[in-house]
Amino acid sequence: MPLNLTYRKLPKPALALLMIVAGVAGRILLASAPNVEPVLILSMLAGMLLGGIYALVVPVSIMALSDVYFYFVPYEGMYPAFSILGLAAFVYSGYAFVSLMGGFLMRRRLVWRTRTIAILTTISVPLTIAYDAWTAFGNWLFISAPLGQTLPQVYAMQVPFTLIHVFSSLLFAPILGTTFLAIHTFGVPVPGEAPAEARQDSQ
Amino acid sequence: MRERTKALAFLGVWVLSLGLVLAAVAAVQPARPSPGAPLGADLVIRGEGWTIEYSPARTSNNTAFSLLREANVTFGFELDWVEYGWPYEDVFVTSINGTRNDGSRNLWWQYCVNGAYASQGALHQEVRDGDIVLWVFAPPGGAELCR
Repeated sequence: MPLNLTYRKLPKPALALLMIVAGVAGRILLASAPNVEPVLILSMLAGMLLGGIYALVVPVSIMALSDVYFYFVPYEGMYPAFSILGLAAFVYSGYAFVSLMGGFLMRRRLVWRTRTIAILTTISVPLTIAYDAWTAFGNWLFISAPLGQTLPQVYAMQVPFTLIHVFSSLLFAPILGTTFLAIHTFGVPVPGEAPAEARQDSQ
Repeated sequence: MRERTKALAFLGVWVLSLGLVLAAVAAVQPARPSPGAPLGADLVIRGEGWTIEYSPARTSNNTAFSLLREANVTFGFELDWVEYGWPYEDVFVTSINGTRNDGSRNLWWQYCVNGAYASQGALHQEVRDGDIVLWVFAPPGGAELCR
C-alpha cells in the first residue's frame, strides 16, 4: 500500500525551533572547522522568514544553547570569564544585526524562486564581512588589546578567517535557504490523506 | 529565462564562487618552512619552577614546534597539543611536562625566537642555525616574557 504524504504548514514557533535545533547541532558538529558554521545564515533566515521577536530569539537561542556546551565541555576554564562575556556581547549582537538585516532586506522577496536564493546568497557575503569586522573589534577590545596588539594587526590577522567565513556563508546560504524557504512555503511532508484531486488523478 | 535554466546558472555561479574563495583562502596562508640543511639550535623550556634545556648538535627539525617535539621524544617529558587542520595547518601547545594552560590564571605556553615574541603558529616559525627558541609558561605579554 503506497504511503500517502501531505504537506502541513508549520507555525512560526515550530519553524523557529527547527532552526534552533539545526543551528545548535551544526555549530557543535562543525566545531573542528573554525568559522565554518550555519548560525549566520540561520540568523538571516530567521529575520527573513519569521521576523518580529523571532529575529532575536533564534540567533540568541542557538548561541546560548551551544555556548553552554562549548564553555562547560571542551573550553572549560580556558578563558577568563570577563573576556568571554565581553566577546560574547559582540558575537550575540553581531548575529542579531545579521538577523535584523536579513528581515529588512529579504522580507518582501519571499517567493519560491531561484532569484530569492541567489539574492540571499549574495547578501550573505557583505553581512558576513560586516559581522566579522564587528566581532574582530570585540576580540581586539577584550582579548588582543590587553596583549599589546593594535586594531590594524587584529584586522590583518582576521583576513584568512573572514575568507573562510565567507566560504561558509556561500556554502550554507543556498542549502539552508532552499530547505527553510521550502518548509516555510509548502510545509513539511507528513503521512496522511492525499488531496482529493491527487486521488482522482491516480484512478 | 525558464526557472530551471536560472537554477542551473545559479548552481554554476555558486560552485565557481566557492572555488574562488577556497583559492583565496589557500593564497593568503603562509607556507610552512621546507626541510633544510641540518642546523644547530638551542631550546629552553621554562615552566613554573623548572627549566628544561636542549641543545642538539645537528637537527633537521627547523620549526619552533618540531624542535620542541624532538626534545619531547629525546627526554620523554609529557607534551600535549591541539592540531588545527586545513587551512591553518598548525598546532596549539596545551601542556608541557605536566604544566597545562590555565585560563583562570591567564597562564599559557608561548614561544619566542632570539628574544622576539611569536608572531605566527609554532609549525610555521622557522628556526635557523644558531637560533635560541624559548618556550615559556606565562601570561601573554609580548617581548617582556622573552627576556
